Amino acid sequence: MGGYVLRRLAQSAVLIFAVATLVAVLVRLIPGDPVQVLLGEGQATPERVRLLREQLGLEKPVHVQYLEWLGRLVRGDLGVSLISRRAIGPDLLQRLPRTLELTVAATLLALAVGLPAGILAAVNRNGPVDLAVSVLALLGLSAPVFVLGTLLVLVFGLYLRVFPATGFVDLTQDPWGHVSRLLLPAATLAAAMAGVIARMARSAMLVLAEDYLRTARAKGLTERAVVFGHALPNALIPVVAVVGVQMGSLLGGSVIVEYIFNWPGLSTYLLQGIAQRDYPVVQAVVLVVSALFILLNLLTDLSYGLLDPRIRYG
Amino acid sequence: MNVKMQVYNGLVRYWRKGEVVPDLAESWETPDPTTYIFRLRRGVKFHDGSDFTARDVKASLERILDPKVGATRRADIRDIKEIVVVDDYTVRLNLSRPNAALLAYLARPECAILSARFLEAGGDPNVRAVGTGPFRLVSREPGVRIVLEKNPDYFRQGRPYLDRVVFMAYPDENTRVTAIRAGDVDFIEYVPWKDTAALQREPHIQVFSGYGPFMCLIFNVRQKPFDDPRVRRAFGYAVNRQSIIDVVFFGRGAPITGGLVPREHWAYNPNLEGTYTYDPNRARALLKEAGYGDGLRVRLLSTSQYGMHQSTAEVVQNDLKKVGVQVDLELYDWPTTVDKHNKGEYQFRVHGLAPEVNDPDFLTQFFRTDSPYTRSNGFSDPEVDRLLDEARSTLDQGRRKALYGELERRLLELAPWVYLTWREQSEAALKKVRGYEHLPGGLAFVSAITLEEVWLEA
Repeated sequence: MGGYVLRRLAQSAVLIFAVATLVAVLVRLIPGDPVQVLLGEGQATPERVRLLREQLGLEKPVHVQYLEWLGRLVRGDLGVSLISRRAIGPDLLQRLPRTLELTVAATLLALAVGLPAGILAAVNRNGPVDLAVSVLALLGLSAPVFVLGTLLVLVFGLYLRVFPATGFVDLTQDPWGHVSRLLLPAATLAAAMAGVIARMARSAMLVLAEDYLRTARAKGLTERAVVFGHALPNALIPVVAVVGVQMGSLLGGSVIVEYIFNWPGLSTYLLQGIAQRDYPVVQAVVLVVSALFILLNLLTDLSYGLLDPRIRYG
Repeated sequence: MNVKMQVYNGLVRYWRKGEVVPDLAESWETPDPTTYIFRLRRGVKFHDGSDFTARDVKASLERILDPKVGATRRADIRDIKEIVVVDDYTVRLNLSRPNAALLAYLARPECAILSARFLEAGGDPNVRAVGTGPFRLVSREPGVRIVLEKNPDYFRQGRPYLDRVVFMAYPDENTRVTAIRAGDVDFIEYVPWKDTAALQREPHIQVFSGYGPFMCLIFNVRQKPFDDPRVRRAFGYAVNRQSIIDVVFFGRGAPITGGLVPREHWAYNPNLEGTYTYDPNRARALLKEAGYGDGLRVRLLSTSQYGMHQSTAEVVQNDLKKVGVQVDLELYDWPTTVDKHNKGEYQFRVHGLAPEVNDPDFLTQFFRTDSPYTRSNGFSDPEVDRLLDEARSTLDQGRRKALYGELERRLLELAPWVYLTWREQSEAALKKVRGYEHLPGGLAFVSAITLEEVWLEA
């Protein structure tokens, strides 16, 4: 087990390094130039372009910039934004928890809705409940986040006025204000995942008809004990796999949701970085997100072993 | 910039009607055309507690003039040859030549007065803000929010009224409108034109508006076919300005058929009105005269990032088709567009701009040889340069008006740009927000200067 984990960690490190390199190159291939963005059109005299380029260290060859960046990176320094001239590390650290919070809240919400719905559907297989769950799951899966998000803003923010439609306040300043602004984006993000979980849980729970469960029933166990004690643990593995993979894509899927709700997480930071050609910011965000994604997958793989005693890593 | 105006003061500033009024300077005189003497306010304190004196003025202006700093306003106030501290509360500017527009530029937020002590200690104004303004900077998270609080020692008695101001970044226009409708925020800028009417109908919302920014076409005059003024003029007749106003700005604009100096300005020249009207026949005739009677195919640079730029380009494309010109659109995101503009990599482009000062000298930035704009499109005309320079160094307003009239006529004739429409610029606020004023013309973007007089009605 230890050897396996170490090997996977090493692979992950290589992968993260590859991503870092790729992003450093790709981001510079986008047409446009941070110096031109900073100066705009009314100010970009050749002298000022040259001056700013020097001040920002952009006059150096790309490979030198890249090596310097790697050098700082191994020391844990993510560099300085070209546009705001602020250190990226602290800004990123301020935004990362907000995106994680959104992702975790969406996942919990999706599990809270999807899992019971899936179980209910499986237990009432081919009944009206099953049909309703299937239809809702399909809706959740297929509604694009920008449609769902806009709809939620319209209904809850503008018509019913139960939640603020947009924005963000710190948890420490105003806990309810914070949570009430979290709910709509989290729900938007959770819809598709809840749909997937419900479908997955339903099909995984269809083991209910299998022999070992008939045996369980035959020895007099209640249906509740059969479902939760024997069927669910078996059904959980695919569900966990789905949650793991989906959480990773939630990190990416939050881009649009953060934008619609003006949630100041990593995605808006990334978008802003791209829009301004703020190379170090884009590199830092992509690096952190992909590292998270890779680690999340690793954790998912490892968790199988805990859930299913038959899976062992050597 | 909005934040700059709250944290700092200038020697002078723009006020409600677009006039230049005293700020840190109490009064000034010009004993001769190349000398300005400013008498400074006493008892003003910076946010770090230090006293404001003439030394701060000298340090701040010298910083702007230092080519190594790369300050925005350097080119505009370069006529300042020397800044002399006469005593703690008197400062003298010696100019290399008379400059009628100097105060108009000094009133811009970019000419804010910083603390000399802060600058000498190596402080970076990009990172920390030590000013004398009505509000102090509490915290800043770029792209998210900036928090300001009242400066209790502000030199204007009883101002500001607000204890705390939070600037929130809402990059998406629809989210911005949702935020004001839902009451998540008290005030928004840049109301999208499609939503202005709906917001005006909301009982709890008020809208502040004015004309100021304008849309135009900029031609790269280095290359065919736009090296020929007849082609550029033809485009000026081919575009139906009213359809841009209707389609792009939902009726919220006015066609520009004459010069760029706005109607309410002293330098406005009414005789130029009607120079360019919608006249496809005239456009066709001019194209034929220029040798493009059999049709023409050109590329139009615009950006897909801003709806108004893209839609204007589409209207232009549509109108030009009617005079036998096929336009291929090149739509990029904004940074790429800026890049192509600065490198001159376009045939012609759509642009939205605004005069930055309330003085016709704003034309210098757009049309003077070697300005960033002419460097981009290759336009250079000795007569235009002469008129711009002479008008800037002439102090007599009547004489200046005549010079600018002549200049604008020449610009319309040469048509390095074709002016299309004024567009409305609006802010929206909840009704309880009182005391704000939308400044006229291109000063719309410095309207937040009035924030120190804003209060919330209970």
